[in-house]
Amino acid sequence: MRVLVVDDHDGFRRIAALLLVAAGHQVVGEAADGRGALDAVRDLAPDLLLLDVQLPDTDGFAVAEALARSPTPPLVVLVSTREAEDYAELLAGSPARGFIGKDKLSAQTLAATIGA
Amino acid sequence: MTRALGALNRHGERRRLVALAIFYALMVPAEIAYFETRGTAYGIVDLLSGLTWTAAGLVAWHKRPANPAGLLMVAYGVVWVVAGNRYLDGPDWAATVGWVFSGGTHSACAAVLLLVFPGTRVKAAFDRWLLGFIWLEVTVLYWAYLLFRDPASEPCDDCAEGPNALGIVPDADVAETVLNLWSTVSYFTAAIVLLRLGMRWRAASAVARRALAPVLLTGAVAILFLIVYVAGAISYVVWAPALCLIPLGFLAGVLRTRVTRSTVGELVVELAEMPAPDRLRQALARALGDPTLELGFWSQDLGTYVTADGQTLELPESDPRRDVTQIDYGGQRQAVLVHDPALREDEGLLEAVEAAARLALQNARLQAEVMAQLEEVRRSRQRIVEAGDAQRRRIERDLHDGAQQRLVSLALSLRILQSELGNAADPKVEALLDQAGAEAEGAISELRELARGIHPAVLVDSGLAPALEGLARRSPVPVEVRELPATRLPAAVEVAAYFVCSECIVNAARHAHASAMSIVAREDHDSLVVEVSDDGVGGAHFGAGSGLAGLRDRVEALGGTLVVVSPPGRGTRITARLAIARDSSAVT
Repeated sequence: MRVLVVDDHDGFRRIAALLLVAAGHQVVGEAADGRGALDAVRDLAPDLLLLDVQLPDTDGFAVAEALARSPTPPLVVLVSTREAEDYAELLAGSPARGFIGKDKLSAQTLAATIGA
Repeated sequence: MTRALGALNRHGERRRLVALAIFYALMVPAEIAYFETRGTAYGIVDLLSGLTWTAAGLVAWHKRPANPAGLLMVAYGVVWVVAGNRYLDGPDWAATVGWVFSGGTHSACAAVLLLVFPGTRVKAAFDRWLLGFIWLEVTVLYWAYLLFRDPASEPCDDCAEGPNALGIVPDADVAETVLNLWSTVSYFTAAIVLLRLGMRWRAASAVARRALAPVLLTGAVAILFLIVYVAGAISYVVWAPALCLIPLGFLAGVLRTRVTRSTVGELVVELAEMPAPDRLRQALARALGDPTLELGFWSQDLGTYVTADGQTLELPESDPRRDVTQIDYGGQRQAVLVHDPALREDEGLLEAVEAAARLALQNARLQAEVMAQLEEVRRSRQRIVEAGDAQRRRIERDLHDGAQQRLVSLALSLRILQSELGNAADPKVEALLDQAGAEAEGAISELRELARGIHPAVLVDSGLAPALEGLARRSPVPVEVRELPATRLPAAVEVAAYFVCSECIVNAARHAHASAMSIVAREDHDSLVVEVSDDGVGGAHFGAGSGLAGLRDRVEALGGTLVVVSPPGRGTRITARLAIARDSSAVT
């Protein structure tokens, strides 16, 4: 899949890119905030977004909502240092495909979330 | 005049009484002469009149020393009796003294009384001129008559026949003319005095009218009797006692002017027992006899006067029905009285009440200041708590952005390393990597718990309800969440409520050995009520180690209350009530 990584922490973006490539995906771009994410989606048309919840200008849920309104929205997987439990209600109402805690990110968990 | 009278009063009512007794003793010959000339009936009426004025005057003087009515009434009585000396056969000088005072000086005293009452000064210039004219008429004009009086041309059985040392130019015609003039002027001025009295009644306020009413009533009765007497239906002996009602009317009027020394004394006692500002106004209104009295306290912050319940008091600008008295103390504004202008007529009154009330007013102001200081202390406590919360949010954020991110990256790197090595790895290396990964995971979750304990992110992002649900899920003791607020609340309130619940859960698990708990968080008017109950061993208290004292401080700093009900063996219920105040920090 063609993947866009969105996170304000550049260390995580590097690691996530390595993981994704090792899992057989193609990383087409990076973004460090919500505005950048929306622009990148418009320009690059990725299939999948790895989207951090804590962004400097907005939060991942708002970005997911915005993307869901576009004609061909990409799959969105939310990530965060915090646990899913902390976002239980917000996740329940979000158009995102799923949530993975950053420390749990792996090829298997990603495949499980997308496939589910 | 008030102060002079007051001084007189202090120095000797006894002296006054002694002087009057001596005076009356000296007047006995004149009274006997009157009785012999005019007969018993007239004599008794005459004596009664004089005595009534003097007696009523003495009572009025004693009861209301600041009011000149008492003095004027005694003067009337004295002059009335002195004039009787004209009935003496001799000595010449004694009889002449009687003649000198016979021009109606007693009426002049009454005129002064009518134009002053119930106040203490003659205010209108017209009244002052009128009184000056009247005094001239009863002295100089009458003495002119005495100059020309020719006793030989006025024979009568029951007239005064005492020698008149002033009669040096006896001329019957001139005397008659002057007497007629004097007579006419007397009636004329009497009518004008009554007119002025009527005008004063119309312009008088309620307080002044209360004093004037008895005077007018008795005066009207006397005039009625006079008319009937002049019409010939009754004799002098019947109508003259009606005149005695008038001093009684003045006395009643004077007693109706409310404030005396004893009233002020009562006021001081009352004020010593009731310093509360709203009761103060009532006490003052009662003492002054003015139900329309308004009391305002100077507010340094607002720069205006405010009433006891905090409303601004507007001072009337130029309203003839309202008068304003400012009460300052130590050069600073303290309070203000807005009252009936009639209260000013008794000059010592407002001063006395001011002095009595000064202490109570200071007290009330000090109370208000203390309340303001307490409020400031409460606000500073609240600011400290909120500053602490803000700092904890920052720490949590820093942990999240810093250490937690790095640990996550570390854990992910280890995972990538493992997958890169794949099956070709040495089992020892494999084992080391597994262990490293586990340590990293452990560090991540411990740091996460720490961050949550410092300041849960979900509380900031999503609010109290999801935070409490999360708390319940993670709790070692089963927690039933019965009720949650539907909307977001001010941050300080949500934080306090969260920590109350989390602390209670910790206590329930650690100390109370509870097996079940429940949490209720509901809005009640303008407060949030949080109830946490458990079925543990009870016996919770605010002592060391329970953390409840810290909770109570936090809750009280926000102006709330924390109540612990924990009978031993019967579980624990903790109820916190937090005000959802308008002035707390903004809703997140």
